[in-house]
Amino acid sequence: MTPPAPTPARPVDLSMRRMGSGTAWLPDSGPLPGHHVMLGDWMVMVHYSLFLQYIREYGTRGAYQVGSVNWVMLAAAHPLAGGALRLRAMASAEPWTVGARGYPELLQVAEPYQGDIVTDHQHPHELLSETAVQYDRAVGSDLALSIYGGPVGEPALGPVAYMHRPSAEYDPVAPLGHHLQDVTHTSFGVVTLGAFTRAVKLEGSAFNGAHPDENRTDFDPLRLDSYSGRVTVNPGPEWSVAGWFGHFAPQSGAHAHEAFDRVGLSVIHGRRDWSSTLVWGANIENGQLRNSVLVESTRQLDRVNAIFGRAEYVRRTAEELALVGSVSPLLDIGALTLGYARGIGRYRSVLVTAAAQGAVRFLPEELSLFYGSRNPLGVAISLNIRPD
Amino acid sequence: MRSTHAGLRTLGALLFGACSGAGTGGRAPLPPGPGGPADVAAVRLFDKNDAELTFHIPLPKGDTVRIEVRTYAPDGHQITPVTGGAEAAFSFDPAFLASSRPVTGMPLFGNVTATAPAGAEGAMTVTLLFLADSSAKTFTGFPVLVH
Repeated sequence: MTPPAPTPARPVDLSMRRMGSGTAWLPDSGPLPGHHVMLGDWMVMVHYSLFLQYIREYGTRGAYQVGSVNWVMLAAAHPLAGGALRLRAMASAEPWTVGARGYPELLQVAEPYQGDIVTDHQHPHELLSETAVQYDRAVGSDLALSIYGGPVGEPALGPVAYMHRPSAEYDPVAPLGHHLQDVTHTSFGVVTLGAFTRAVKLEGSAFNGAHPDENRTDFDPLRLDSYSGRVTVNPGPEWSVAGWFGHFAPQSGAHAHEAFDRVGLSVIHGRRDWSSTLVWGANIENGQLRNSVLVESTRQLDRVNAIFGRAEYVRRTAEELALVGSVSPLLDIGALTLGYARGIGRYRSVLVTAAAQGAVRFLPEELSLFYGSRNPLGVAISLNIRPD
Repeated sequence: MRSTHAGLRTLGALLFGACSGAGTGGRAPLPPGPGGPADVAAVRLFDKNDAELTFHIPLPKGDTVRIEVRTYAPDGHQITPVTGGAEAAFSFDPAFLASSRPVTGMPLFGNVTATAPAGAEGAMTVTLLFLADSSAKTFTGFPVLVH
């Protein structure tokens, strides 16, 4: 474990461990992966996760792939005018390492690609999924203001994105509820204003509500056409609770949709050896809630062995499965993933882990025709490299 | 040792066996192929410019839109031709939303004309009649909006 490095002046003295994705908070007692170095007055943090994974999905729409889910995040902090300036960037090579069509994942939301529709795959991350600037400044003994923004970043909407949650650190596969929960972690155009104490943060964002286009290596047009708000409470060192609301402007093009709202709640519990997350995320479409629920956990049994799992419920639309006209407009699906991870090497402050996981889904009868059964299976084996 | 090898073979077959798709890069688009009526599990709708209308059928008031029905198997590959042939018929809910006429010599096409005022919305149903066995399948719920 890398010892925490000295940190720059921080309003209300918040722990670095709180830094999740965008401006979202994690519990203070969770792990703090990442390499920290001081470069003059700059404190630089490098965090990354590099998977090499084999994913096999079974059934009528099954597929397999050897690929790499990966991302690297850089953050540099510097004291400025009585506050802290943070420069943030996040990049991924997934457009090449899992391909433009993404990696196989049964029941994931279908996406347009080159005039056709790719089903049962999770799209790759953008080459650049965050280039943002944040400035925090205390305005009293226990109150600070924050401004965050950039051409690509994460608005105050949703939980800590799944890649950054310690409860999902060994799982390379995206949650099925991703598009109802944390898909806005990559938004092309974000401005967030916040106010926070040691325990509570209130935020409001203007952001681009358009889904990133299929070209994952460019910057999409920047807009601020949608808005959101989030309240986060860290009542104790092991807990972080957030609730959010967002309004999405109507969009045209390949990801066309009418205006809709999104609401949700997350509860994250974190200790050094055990992290868990509960997320409820829902779209309000035509006045009706379309829900998703996720529970995931990673338990470090000792310094070498860990078990992890994720259980999900998602209400899919027929459109999301590219089955409009062929199945009911709304379909309730479930999924359960269990896995085991074992550390196989530590090199200085880098940890190498091998993991295996299996997933079973629970489908309504009408989908069994398209997936080969009501309980299609999937497996994944992976190697992961990340900071210890 | 023998059982270990058998176990490894079983594990290998489980992980890598019966792969119908490509390797790295995931499942490649499956090529179209022929199939019988029983193979048709889904349909998708397209206009004359190959733009997909499955998820939204915009009908300009006063214009006629030619809609093509393409048939698909459960694994997503297009079925063409359907053994014995198939004919498509369209209907609308509410019924006054639009009307359709068959296209001579093109049994999986229809000419659809809006008959409701702009702003009216509803759904279209596609009924496929399979000539090989005179069976029919119905696909319903394609969203329609009159512009």
